[in-house]
Amino acid sequence: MAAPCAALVAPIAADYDAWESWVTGTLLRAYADCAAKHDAIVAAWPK
Amino acid sequence: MPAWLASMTAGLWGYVGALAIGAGLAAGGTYYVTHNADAAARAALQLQIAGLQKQAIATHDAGVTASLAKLQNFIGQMNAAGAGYQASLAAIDAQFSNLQKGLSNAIAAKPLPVDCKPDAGRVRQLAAAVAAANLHAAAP
Repeated sequence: MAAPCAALVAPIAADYDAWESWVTGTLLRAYADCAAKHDAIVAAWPK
Repeated sequence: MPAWLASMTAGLWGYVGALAIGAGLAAGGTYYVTHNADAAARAALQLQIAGLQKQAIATHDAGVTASLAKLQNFIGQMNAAGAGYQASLAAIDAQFSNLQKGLSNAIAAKPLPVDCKPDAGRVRQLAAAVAAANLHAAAP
């Protein structure tokens, strides 16, 4: 949970499919991970 | 089915099965080491706190007792949040794995024209946006 967020890797300039795969598989995956991490940190924060 | 094909298919399935079992064992081992190492460290800490609590009660130190109770509560909250995060990660992994499979199927079903490629300017802009995001992610 305390681990830093993974650095994004830029997509290769292949084609539209490669870009969509990068957006869904890397970018939004990283966003979901970050949102879950944020949620967990807020939950762990002393009230 | 010819005998040679049946034997090849059986061999292939054996190989796939062995790979799946190997992957399962590796994942299980990683989970065991991570979670049990955490559990052992947490148990040791709880034991230390319990010892300090006994000492505080014996010396009638209410302030220390209250602080230790607060600390214990905080550790419990951290532990629950950590478990929740792990569960979220597992759910995210499963969801995104399904999404990627769906995208692969869509690509196979309806391939794009061969000239459907981004130009250098668009690639540069996206690379710059990724670099900017990474810069903020790395900031202390």
